[in-house]
Amino acid sequence: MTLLRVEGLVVAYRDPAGGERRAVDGVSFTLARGGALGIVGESGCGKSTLARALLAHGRPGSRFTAGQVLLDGTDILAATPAERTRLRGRRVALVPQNPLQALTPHLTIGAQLQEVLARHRGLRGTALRTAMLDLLAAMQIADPATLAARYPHEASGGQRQRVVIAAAVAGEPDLLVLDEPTTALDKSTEAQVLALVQAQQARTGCALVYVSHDLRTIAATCQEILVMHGGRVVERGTADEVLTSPREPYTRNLVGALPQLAPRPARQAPPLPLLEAQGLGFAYTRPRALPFLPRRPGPAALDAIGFTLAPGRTLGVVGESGSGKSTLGGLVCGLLAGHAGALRFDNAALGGAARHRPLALRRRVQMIFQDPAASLNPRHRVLDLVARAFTAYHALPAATARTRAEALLAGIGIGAELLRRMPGELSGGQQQRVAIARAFAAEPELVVCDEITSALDVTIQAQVLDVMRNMQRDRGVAYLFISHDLAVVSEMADDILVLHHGRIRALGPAAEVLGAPADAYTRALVAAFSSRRAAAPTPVPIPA
Amino acid sequence: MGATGLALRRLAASLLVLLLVSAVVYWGTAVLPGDALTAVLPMDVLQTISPEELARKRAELGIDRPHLVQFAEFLGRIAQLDFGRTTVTREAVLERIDHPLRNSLILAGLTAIAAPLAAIALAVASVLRPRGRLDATLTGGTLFAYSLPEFVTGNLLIILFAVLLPVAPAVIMLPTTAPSLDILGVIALPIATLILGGIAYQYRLLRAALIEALDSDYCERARLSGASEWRVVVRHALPAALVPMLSATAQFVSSLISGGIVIEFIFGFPGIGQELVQAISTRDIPSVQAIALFGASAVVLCNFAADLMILALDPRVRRRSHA
Amino acid sequence: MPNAATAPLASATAHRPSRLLRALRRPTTGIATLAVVLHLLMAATAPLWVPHDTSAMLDSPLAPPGAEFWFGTDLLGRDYFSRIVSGGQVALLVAALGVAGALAIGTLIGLACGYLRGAADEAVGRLVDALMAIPEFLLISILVLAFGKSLPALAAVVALVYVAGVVRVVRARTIALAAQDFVRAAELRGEPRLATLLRELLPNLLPLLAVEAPVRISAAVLRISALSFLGLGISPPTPDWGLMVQEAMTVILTDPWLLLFPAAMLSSFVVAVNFAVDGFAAAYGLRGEAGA
Repeated sequence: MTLLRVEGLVVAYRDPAGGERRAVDGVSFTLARGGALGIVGESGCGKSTLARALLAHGRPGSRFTAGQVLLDGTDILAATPAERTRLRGRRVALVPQNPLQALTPHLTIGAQLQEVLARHRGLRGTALRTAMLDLLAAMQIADPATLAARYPHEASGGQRQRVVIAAAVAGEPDLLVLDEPTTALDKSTEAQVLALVQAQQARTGCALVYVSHDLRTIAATCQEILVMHGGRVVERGTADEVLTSPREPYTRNLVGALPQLAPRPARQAPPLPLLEAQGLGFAYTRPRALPFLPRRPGPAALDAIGFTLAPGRTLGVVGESGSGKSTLGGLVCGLLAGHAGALRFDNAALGGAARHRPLALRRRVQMIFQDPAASLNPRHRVLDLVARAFTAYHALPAATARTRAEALLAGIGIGAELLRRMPGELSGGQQQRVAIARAFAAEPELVVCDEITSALDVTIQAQVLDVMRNMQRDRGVAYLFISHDLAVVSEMADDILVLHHGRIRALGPAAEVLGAPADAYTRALVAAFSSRRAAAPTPVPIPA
Repeated sequence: MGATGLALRRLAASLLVLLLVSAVVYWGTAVLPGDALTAVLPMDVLQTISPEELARKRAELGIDRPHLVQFAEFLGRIAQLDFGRTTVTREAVLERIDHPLRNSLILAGLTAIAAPLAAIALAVASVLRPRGRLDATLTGGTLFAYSLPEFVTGNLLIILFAVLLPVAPAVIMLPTTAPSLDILGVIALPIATLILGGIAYQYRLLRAALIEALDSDYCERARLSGASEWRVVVRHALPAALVPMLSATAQFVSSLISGGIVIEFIFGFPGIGQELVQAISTRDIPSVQAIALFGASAVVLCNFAADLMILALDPRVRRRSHA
Repeated sequence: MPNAATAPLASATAHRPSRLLRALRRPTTGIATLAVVLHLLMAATAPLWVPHDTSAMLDSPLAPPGAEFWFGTDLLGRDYFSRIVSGGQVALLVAALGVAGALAIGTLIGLACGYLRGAADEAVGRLVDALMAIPEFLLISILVLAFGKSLPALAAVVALVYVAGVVRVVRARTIALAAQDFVRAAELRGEPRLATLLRELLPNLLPLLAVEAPVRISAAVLRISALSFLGLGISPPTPDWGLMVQEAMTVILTDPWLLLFPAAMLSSFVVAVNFAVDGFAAAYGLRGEAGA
């Protein structure tokens, strides 16, 4: 029996120049009562706008210009504002994307849940509080009373995500719309949250619309998938069909770009290590309790780490937030100083802040940051950003530096027409290429890559990873490749180091770590990334 | 660190600021050209006195000692609320500014309460119908009002209400020592003038913060969980949006002391501003010092109160501020 | 993060010059900008073309407007039109010089404090708190008392009074900027701190300063006029709107129109600056910078 029918829906945004841009452009689909539908697409494909249209909500500046959203046969887009307000939370509910930003910062978690429960179940007083605590308990929160008294910023990411799910299911809606519900979470937490959603679906029989950029997660949750691109549905089918035999070129590209959890072919390692750590430890200092008191060290962010990295090879460092992986990168580059144990680069002690290192050493160890929008000065032109590295490291005259920068940028797909632009006028993928060019302008021997693709869409990610592999092949540079995404790391790394709370959980050749991990945490991580593993489809040439 | 600890820290910071303010006031008035002696004596008298005589008089007054010593003494005196005697009439400064101070406190206090409340009401009404007629009128009108100097709005109000339709007195004819209740009867126009500028700035800040908050993910979530727009605005958006306005409100109270001076001058209001203008033109340094310190204390107190309110409104500040 | 709002942003930044035109095409912004330009032109060129000497007593006091004296004469029989047209010069000059000084010094201090932090930053922060705790007007009064009322003294007073506010906003923005990775990248290159300050951070402060400068100049013009109005600022017989309002107040019950000319001139300048800044800030996406 059909619960939801969307017909020819068009949602348009006003353009600042006066025109209109269709974010959703003629989308139609149906969803049965109790069914689960996945909607997948990259940034700007219109999936979030579509998700909100299912609650008859348009973001500021948008309009429903055509089509219908029929819930149990009634067009909710034609409803009055009061009717729309009544149906939200009770018949259709949304689980929003970023739970920290989606919870009101100045209200306790308990107060926010009670507000929804009071509205939809008409509860008051102690009954309301009991229902709120029951709801949190149903979300597998160990100590509901404690969490209820906290403010959103005081809860963990997983707890917050459970709270927004609790708020959405409080009114027992017929349709639950999930907008990127696990994007902000670590992989291991994601699995628990998804299990919770599925348990809720089994208990109340609600239907799910699951919106995400992550094709694998969607495939694990939904029987049917829509692939969106440019506001349109470009492909629909079962999860298996879309993942294993995509029909449309766009989908084939998307599936082809998915990182595979498969080690890259083993390469012969040179005998002498380039980077070497023994008993490496680091602790951040706590803030001073009062001015002028001495600073005290906090808990260890890195605890006696040891590894080696040979020239021209890649060591993948995998870990969740708080694992110490970025601390490791910071120590190697000189963003952080004051480590315990030994850290050696090319047989000489490495350490101390970058400004105290000799120029030659700074040149040989480079870093690429996670967010290119933040790591490129927004007021410098693309060409100047890269040319600056040439003048700083090679003391080249300005004109020569610019010529070299132009050539380097052209080599990784940043054409002459982009050189005069500011970083804000480039796409995310282009920005990260500029950041890559800046690092390679130094002609380094080791590049620390800290989550360099986590801000990018999956097809862009594939292109950037390609650039990185080519640079390594051509220049024989070693990578310390840091990421939370085991699949991405497996595509890049010769060896893998798994970090958890500052300690090593696994270290060895990629095939070993991925194939037969001895450590339980690593096994769980591998399992989380290999669920619904896609059989490798026929590769499609990727346009640059 | 708990909220109490933070509040104590802010209190300590406020006291430190007060100390620095006294230093600025002391050096600003006592050290820069024209010391307490040359300021007292008329120019023609000054020229007849020999340098030796002058030095002796300085020693008598104790103003030849190191400034740090004098400053410590100055602090000791003001801690006992002893601001000395006025240079012209030789009456105790505190006695002389007592009544004007009370009058000004009534004027500033009423304005300080009324202006933010009015700004909140107008801003909430504005964002409930964004880009509606009320919103557009208020947005344009307040930018206009905010740009008008007090001595222009004050005079325009006089022309309007005292000259064209005579319903209010143009000039207040009350002695400085009139009982406080009498002040209330003639205070309408001065308060209206002060509020007009105050509402404008606070309204604009609050409206901008409300619009930003209403555009946030948490307000969207509240809306999509079935909350009415009124509830979204008042419960979810307003508390956080008040934070930037509260800092501005504290600044507004500080500017009230400045604006008050002009207003008192225009309306002949028997307040502290009149005293200040007079003290400055007669170079009556003890009075200037006393008034400046009272004004600064009021500002420090308001800032501290605003800090406390922000702590109460936004739990995130409690964590952010010691990071 | 996947977000539908990123696409229009990219297209909007691609056509940079058209934003100026789009801002000017809005009636309020266009008219306000025109008014600001006229005011500046008037202040700069008035001595070259005013019909009469601004301090010469030419006719009986309070003569009505006519062919000879377009706005009539003031209380002392001076040509009111010439005085009105010249009445913004001194205040505007003092405000511009003072604010320029405050911005230059305040930006340097704020930048250094916000980036280098440490004990010096703590000390500067407290001093700024103290200076800002003294009501602006009281501070100006004290300083005028100390420095006198000459033009350079008034400009120095304006600079001293506004420098604390500039330090505060620049420092806050610098701290936010310094937390970004492009500053980390410069540090990894081993750039000297001064180069990082000037090359990496300062350019990112320019939008903030572009909004700060006109807003603070117009505020300073108001303050100076208020001072003159109280008899503590610019001295007669210099033509000045604040002084003229004060003089006109004495005859407000009989000749209120005398007050309207200087009031309108002063207000139109400040209103125009605020509307123009507001319009440009909106067009260039600098709304957050205004009112900081």
